[in-house]
Amino acid sequence: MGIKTGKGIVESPAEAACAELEAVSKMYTGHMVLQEVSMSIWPGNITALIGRNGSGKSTLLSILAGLVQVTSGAIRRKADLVIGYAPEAFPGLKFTPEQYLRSMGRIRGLSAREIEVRMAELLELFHLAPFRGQPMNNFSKGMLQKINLIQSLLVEPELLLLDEPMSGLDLSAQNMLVQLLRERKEQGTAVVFSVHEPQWVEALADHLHILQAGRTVRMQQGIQELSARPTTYIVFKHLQEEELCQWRDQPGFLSLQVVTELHDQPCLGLTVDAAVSDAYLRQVLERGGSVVSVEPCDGWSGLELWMNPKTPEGGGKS
Amino acid sequence: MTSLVVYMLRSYTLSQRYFAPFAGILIAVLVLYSYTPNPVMNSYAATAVILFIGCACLGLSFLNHEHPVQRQLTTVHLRSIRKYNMGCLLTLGVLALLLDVLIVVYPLVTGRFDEQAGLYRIMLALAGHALLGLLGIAISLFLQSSMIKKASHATGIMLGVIIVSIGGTKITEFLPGSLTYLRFLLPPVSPVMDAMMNADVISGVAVLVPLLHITIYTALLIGFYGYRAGKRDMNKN
Repeated sequence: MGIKTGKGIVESPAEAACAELEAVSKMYTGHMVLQEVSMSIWPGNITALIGRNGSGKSTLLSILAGLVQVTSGAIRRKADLVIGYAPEAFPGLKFTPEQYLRSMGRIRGLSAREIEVRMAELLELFHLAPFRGQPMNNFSKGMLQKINLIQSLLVEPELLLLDEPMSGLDLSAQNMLVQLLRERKEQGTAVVFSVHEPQWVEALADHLHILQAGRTVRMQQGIQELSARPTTYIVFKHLQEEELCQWRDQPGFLSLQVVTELHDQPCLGLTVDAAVSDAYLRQVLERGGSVVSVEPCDGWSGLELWMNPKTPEGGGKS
Repeated sequence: MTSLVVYMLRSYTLSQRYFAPFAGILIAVLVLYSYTPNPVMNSYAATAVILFIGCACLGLSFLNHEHPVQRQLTTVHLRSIRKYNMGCLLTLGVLALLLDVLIVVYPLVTGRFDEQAGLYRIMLALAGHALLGLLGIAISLFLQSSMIKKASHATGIMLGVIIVSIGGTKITEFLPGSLTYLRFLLPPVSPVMDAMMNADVISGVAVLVPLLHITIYTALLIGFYGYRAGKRDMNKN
C-alpha cells in the first residue's frame, strides 16, 4: 500500500490504516491550536472526537481532509484515499442542490449516470427530493446540513470526516444518519466525527479521542469499556509531568496532562480507573505533590465534562 | 479540469459579482468608440489598458466570490489544493481571453476605425490585450481576501499598483540613473502600451521586447503565487 506523507518526515507503510497522524502540531499566528496529536484511523472504525469549543477538533478534521498543513509532525494517508468531508456549517449557496451536487460529482470524476443515481438516492433518503430544484440560499440550517452530508457521501468514501454532523438535524434525520453511518462502517468506511452529545458517541463510536486546548487528553479503544468503568479525575500541584512518565505503564492509568487554565500555578490533571485511585493519590502525596481536587466520574457522565462542561471549572479540569 | 472551470464560471455568474467589472469594461470601451473614426493602434492601446484595469477588478471579484467553506469542499472533491488554484487561474484566463476577443473584434465589425486594421495589427492587438488582461489577473491573485483580509486595503493597493503600472515610464524618468533598473519591478503596462501605440513606426523587435517582458513578468507572478498558494492552508474563514 502506497503512503502519502504530509510534512515529509516519515515514509513508511501504514499497514491497513487509512490515515495516521504522528505527533502533529498546528500553529496559527503564534497560537498553538494542536499539540503533538497522534492517531490512527482504521477501515470500518468510527472515531469520535470530543472536546470543548476551541479544543482543536475542527482543525484536526481539516488536517485529515488535507486542507490544512501541519506545523510539525507527520501525516500518512493511504494512496488515493477517497475522503468525504462535511464541515461544521454549510453555506447557503445560490445553487440548487441538483446543480451543486452534479458539479461536485463531475469534479470527483463520476459519470453522469452515477451522479444521477447517487444524488436521487441520497436526496430521497434525507427527504430533500422535493427541494432539489430550489436555490439553497433560502434553506434552513437543517436542510443545509443535509446537503452538507449528502455531498460528503456522493462518492462512497473510504474516510468520512464529519464536523458536528448532528448539528441542526431533526431527531428522525439524526437517527437516519446513525443508521447510515453504521451501514458505511459495515462496508469498511472509516469515520471520524466531532460531537458534543454523549448519546451519539455511545450509538456510534468504536474509539474516543478527547482533545483539550489542542492536546490529546485521552484516547479510548472500545466504548463499552469506557461506559462500564468509573474513573477518578485528580488535580494536583508541585510535581512535573516528566517525573511521572512511568505512571503511563501502570495499571489503571488513563491520562495525564498539564492543567493551567483555572489555577494560579501549573497543575497536573490525572485520570485513572476509580478502583486504583487511592494508590495513585498515595503516590502523589509520597512524591511531595499536593492534591487540589478529586472528582469521581462515572462512565458517560465523565465524558460530559469534556463535551459540554456544566461549569467553567469542569472544562478547566482537563 | 473542464468540470471545475464550468463549475467556477457557474458559481461566479450566480454570485452576480461579475456585473460591475464586466459592465465597467464594456462601458469604457463603448465610450471610447462612441466617436468615429478612430486610429487603430492608439485605440487598441487604450482598450488594452482598460482591459488590464478591468481584469484586475474582475480577478479580485472572482477570487473573493466563493464562500471559504465552498472552496474547502471543492478542494476536497478535487483532492488537491494546487488543482483548485489551477482551476481558478484557468477560469480567469478564459474570461480574460473572452473579453480580449470581444474588445478587439468589436471596432472591426462595427467599423470604428479610420482605416483597415490588417492582420498584423489585429494579431498584435489580440496579444497585447491578452497579456495585459493576464497581468491584471496575476496582480489580483495577491490581493484576494485569503491574502489580504481587509477589502479596503486590497482595493487601495490595487488602485496604487494600477496607477504605478500605467505611469511606469514617466515614473522611471524621475529615478536617478543608478536606480533605473527598478523599472523592471513595476508591472510593465506602460512599455506595452507605448509599443502598441507606436507599432506602425517601430521595428518588430521593438514591439516584441515589451511583449516578452510582460510575458515573463506575468509568468513569474503566477509562478510565485502558485508556489505560495500550494503551501497555504485552506481555512474555513
